[in-house]
Amino acid sequence: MKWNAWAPGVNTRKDWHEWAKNEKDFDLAQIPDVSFIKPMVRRRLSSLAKMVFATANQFIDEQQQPMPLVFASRYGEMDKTVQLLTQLCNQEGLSPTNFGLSVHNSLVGMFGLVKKWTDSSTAIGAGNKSVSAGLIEAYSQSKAIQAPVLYFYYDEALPKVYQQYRDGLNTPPICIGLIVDASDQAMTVLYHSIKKQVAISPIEFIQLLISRNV
Amino acid sequence: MTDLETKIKQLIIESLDLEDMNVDDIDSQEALFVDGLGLDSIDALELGLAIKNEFNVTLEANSEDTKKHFYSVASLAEFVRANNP
Repeated sequence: MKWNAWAPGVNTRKDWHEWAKNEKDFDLAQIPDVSFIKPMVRRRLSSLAKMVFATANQFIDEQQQPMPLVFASRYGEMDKTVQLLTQLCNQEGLSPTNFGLSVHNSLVGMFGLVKKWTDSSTAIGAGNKSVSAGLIEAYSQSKAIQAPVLYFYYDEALPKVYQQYRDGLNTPPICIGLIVDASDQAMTVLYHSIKKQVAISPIEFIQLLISRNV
Repeated sequence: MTDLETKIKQLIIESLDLEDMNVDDIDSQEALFVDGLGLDSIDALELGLAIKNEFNVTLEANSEDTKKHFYSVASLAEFVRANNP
């Protein structure tokens, strides 16, 4: 199965296997390297977007044929939303760029623009079931079109003002990228186990990928 | 280069996140959009807001005059000077 995940300090398949054995830990100081993206595009990329491109760069090559995209995130661009709401409260003019990039499907749109992928795109947010909702969507689309679908899940910690509303632990910024092919036996097994554990966290999902050795 | 042009260039760099650029990289006479500096329509909105906040002038969206004012740093400076003496 083709997948990779990015978290600060842990961002290759090898890193993740070492992390699973407690031989490697997160390094919150690390930021995603997206130097391969042109500066005029790069300036618009949020920290979430940079994670997605860094993850994609590790397991999808330039020759990859476009395929449908499914992007899921629980909180999405919450930092930008907080900035906009703050400006609104202070009766300041809202940044058009921040507004455009704060909506939930902006990142999948940006991915299509940068990669010049004109295939369909879907953006999902489903609370603490976002990881599984995205996977179920990607798997269903793949089954319907009988071709692979590219799935990304990404999130970062909630902004300070919303910390009191979080359930569970703060996880580091994290992005998981996975090519979902419903005709693949291992994928089907993964899909059925996700359906039994819909509130799976991104970290638990990575643990599942590693434990199944896919 | 006038002080006002320098100020506008700084505003462009800051408000549009042109991190790798400094004021000397922007030619006052050069087109800001498409062919010249390569800015796009989202930048136009963002720059309009920044100019409004900084100089307290109002730019009308979708007017032909606005397009002329936004052509270059020099034309923007001329517009600001005329409307904010």
